[in-house]
Amino acid sequence: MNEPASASPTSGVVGAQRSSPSLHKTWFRTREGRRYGLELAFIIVVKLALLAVLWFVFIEPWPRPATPPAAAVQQFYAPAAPAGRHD
Amino acid sequence: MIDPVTVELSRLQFAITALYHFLFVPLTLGLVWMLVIMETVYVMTGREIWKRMTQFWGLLFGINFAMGVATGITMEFQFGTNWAYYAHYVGDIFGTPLAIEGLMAFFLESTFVGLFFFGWDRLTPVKHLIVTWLVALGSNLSALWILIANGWMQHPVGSRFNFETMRMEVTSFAEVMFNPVAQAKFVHTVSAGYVVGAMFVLSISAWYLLRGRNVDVAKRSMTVAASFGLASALSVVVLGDESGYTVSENQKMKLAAIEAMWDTEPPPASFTAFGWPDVAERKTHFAVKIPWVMGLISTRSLTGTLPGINELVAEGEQRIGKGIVAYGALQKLRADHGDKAALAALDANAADLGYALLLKRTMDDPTRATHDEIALAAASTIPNVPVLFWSFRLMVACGFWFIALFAYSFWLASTRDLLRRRWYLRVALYSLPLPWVAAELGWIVAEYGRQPWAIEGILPTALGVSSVSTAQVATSLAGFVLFYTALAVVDVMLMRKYIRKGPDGLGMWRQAPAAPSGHVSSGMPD
Repeated sequence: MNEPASASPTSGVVGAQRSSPSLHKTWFRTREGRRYGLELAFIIVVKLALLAVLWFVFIEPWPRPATPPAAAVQQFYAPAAPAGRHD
Repeated sequence: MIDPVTVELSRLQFAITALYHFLFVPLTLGLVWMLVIMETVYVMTGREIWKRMTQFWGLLFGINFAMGVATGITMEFQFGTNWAYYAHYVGDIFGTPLAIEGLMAFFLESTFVGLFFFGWDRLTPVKHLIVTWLVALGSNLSALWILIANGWMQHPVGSRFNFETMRMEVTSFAEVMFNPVAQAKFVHTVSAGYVVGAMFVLSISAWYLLRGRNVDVAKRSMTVAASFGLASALSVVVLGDESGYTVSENQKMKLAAIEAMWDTEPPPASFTAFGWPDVAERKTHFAVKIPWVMGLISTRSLTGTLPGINELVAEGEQRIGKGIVAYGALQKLRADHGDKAALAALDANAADLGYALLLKRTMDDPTRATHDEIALAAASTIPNVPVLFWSFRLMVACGFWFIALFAYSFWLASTRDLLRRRWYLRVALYSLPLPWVAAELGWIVAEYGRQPWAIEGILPTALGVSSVSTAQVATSLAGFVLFYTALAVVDVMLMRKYIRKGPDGLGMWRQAPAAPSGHVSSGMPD
């Protein structure tokens, strides 16, 4: 430790004594803390929405790549044209 | 024929996604251990400041987690959309560790992340500390399973090709799990993540000290970051050496390309500290070589030989020849599964079957390849030498910088001298992006260096690409770029907002006294 807590400018608040954390309201339950929680929740919801948009706008409309085993075998080992699509 | 533009766009899409995802991952991996250390000190000493520190850095951890989570899921989209043949060919092996990662590690991490934030008032300090430890364990287990999957791509063990199903199958999951390449990659990668976490705390704390804010929190945070960062930076270099050793055994071409070593040198090989690789002439101009170093590092002996690129290309030609025999045998077996001569030929040359597939990029039937076509395919096994050469050197330079910076920080913290050297605080602040740069360069070396293989020696990248159109990949690529750009903007805004507010501005900790004289602007926006 570079400096004991009791010598710090904020020692009047905590000092070196052991505190009882359960007596203090945690920051996450303060107004700022709740706002932070809401922001993170909002981000996650928006992100899931964006992922859905990504899927439905940029990926879903296109034909799906052919994946049956026969198509894969053709891709790797058949001396022929590349596998077809499910167009 | 396979469309090279589709292949390149698919690769670009995956690379962008992976590199973006890995901006968040290492910070999660490293910062969570900083939280563990801080909270452990809080539980052991009962000093409130350590709890506030854990909560403040935890708040930033939460932003990173919320922004990062699900950015990797788009890579799994791509296994289905752009890499369907890859998924078909090796999905039975590659998919298993990915599934375990989701079920075992990510669920563990995500569940306890919630408890970390909402459990402060509901759990006793010891129980909350256990929660924080479990978040750390979950995030690191997550990295383990992902790197087991990636390690198998670099060194495919515990599997075999089944000609009846025409795909790779697991023969020993234990071998896949305990793949030495995966283990070496895991410890190297998580150590790099620890450096990212330590630098994040060090740099932001330096910013507070430069501004004379949150001095108590910042000094203690810097002390933790300096100690943890020094241990991590040393680990990265030592464990990176182990990772390099496994590369010298399993991916000789990658190592030769990193070294721009065109010809085999008499052992022990020298290390090229500087040079200008010339791909056309297959020479390295202005090479500054340090004798013996490469041979000693890579073979751990004075007599071990490291083959050069030209020799490996010649070896590749021979392997393509054997692969063509295996490919021909496979064609016969497809027509008649009971053809014993074909089966014997396939068994004898199965290890080189993938080399014949290199020819599929330019022709339909490898058994008809001419000598020139075989030579061209063998030359295609050379990855991008200049990119690997410089990426590796920049990454290593960053690694040594981290050791120096954290060692000096540790010294200053030990002598309680962190506040007086403002130039040091500025250096610590401006070093913030470097661990990310090093981590991304590391992935470029690992993945670009594996080209042209998706699975080393087994499956060329071009053959793993789905039968999709260029327009299709270009469209989804545009969507991904938009998505990730939006996320990046929000992430930077949120991080800036909460860092600028700081523990004092957020009401977590009382405002520190005004800045000491000589305060200088740090360059971070107010």
